[in-house]
Amino acid sequence: MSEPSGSPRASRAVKLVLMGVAGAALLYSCAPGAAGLGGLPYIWFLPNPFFRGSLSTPTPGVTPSGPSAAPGGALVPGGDTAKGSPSQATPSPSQRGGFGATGSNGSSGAS
Amino acid sequence: MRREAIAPRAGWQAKVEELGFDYYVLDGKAYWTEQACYAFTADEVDELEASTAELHGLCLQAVEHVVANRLWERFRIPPAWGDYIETVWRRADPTICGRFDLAYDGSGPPKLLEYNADTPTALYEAAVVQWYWLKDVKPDADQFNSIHEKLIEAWRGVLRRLPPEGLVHFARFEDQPEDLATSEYLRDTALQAGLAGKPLTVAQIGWNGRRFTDPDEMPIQVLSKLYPWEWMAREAFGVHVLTDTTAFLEPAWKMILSNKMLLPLLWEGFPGHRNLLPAFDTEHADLGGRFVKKPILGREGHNVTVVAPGVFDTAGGDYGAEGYVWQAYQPLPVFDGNHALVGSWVIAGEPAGVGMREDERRITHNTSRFVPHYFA
Repeated sequence: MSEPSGSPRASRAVKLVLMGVAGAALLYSCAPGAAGLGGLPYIWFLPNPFFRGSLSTPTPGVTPSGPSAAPGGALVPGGDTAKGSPSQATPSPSQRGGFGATGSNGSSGAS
Repeated sequence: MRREAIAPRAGWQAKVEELGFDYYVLDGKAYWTEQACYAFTADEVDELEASTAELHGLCLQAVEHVVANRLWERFRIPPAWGDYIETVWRRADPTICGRFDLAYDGSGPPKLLEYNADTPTALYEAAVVQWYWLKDVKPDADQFNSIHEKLIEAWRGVLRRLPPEGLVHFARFEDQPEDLATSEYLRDTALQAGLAGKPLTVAQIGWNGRRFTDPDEMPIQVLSKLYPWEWMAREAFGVHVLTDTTAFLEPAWKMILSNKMLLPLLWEGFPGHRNLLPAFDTEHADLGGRFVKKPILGREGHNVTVVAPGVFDTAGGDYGAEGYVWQAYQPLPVFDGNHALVGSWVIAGEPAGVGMREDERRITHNTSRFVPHYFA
């Protein structure tokens, strides 16, 4: 909703928690609450959080594990199941560097 | 609208550095300057706000048109991505921010030059640095800038769609100060909205065969990326995006809006609209030899050419392989030898404020100076 004409358009206050001197200790660091979530096995079975229930079949050939569903488990994007067991959550080491090759000599931003 | 020469704050460098804004010099040239400011009237701000809302509305109609008619080839979007883009568009994956570049001199209606809808920068200086300048220099004046509050509110909207353990990763290039500041500022506002956020570089993003992961092998549920979609789509990990196991901010439907083919599409859909310039995917006769030729997938002013009677300017670069669009030449207003451009921010779909850029050249690029503004 736009501001009513005539009311101030500038922010009332600008507080920073990361940027600047006050936030220097947190810069480059993991935010409070973010650490340790990777140890929760079920997090591996969470679908895209914007996914809203209806199945979107993964594009053939792009999901190495392929779509799968354990008995009674709901099929979710990427081939994970909503009722997977912790033993299934053991991830393989990730490959890295698959993004970032383009434009590596300059900013990615739009001026 | 006018440009005022003013005295910089004593010790302004230290003041902006305290905010974490340490890239006020880029490529050896001043990037932030407060030896001048731009002054608007309230009516002009109303005009900018209304035009920004209007343009964003037109752009959403354009996205629907592209998706419904599957115009992937015209937009140089790999056909395999079509279904994915349609999925994220139909389920209304949220957007945080984008920035229109507008030609505006305070007299006629603002004219759309392009929409930096995917990876807009100059966000921190618009939202925070110029706000602190206003409080120091023009404390009784107003500023068209509620970007900070609207960003926090936008993140609250994301938070409402996440599970309790929801975590957002923030990815950007490693060595670019403006990219780092933009990404970290987005993380700052996300934290203030109650989200957990974790930074990483684009090259650190991993794929373990099922999910995108961070360097700690933690799955990436939501990725706020300062990395263009058209690059991601063509890189090795791009194909994994189509598994839809990670949510992205900005969402993939922004590929349509950050693409210069948007400009001729808008002109076809809304010919003669007061905020649009004639634009075509050929050097059309209606341009009358006065045009700006832009790469369909270009960035930061690279490979842009300006042609008009007695006017020629061109910028080098590596873009243009996918082709070009031609937009009618709308000269930027010139103040004291500076071509002034209005960057008008859209946060979660709403107008939120402006940032002024200026350059001696007609083509605005990534190091063009940022100049604060106020209105009264």
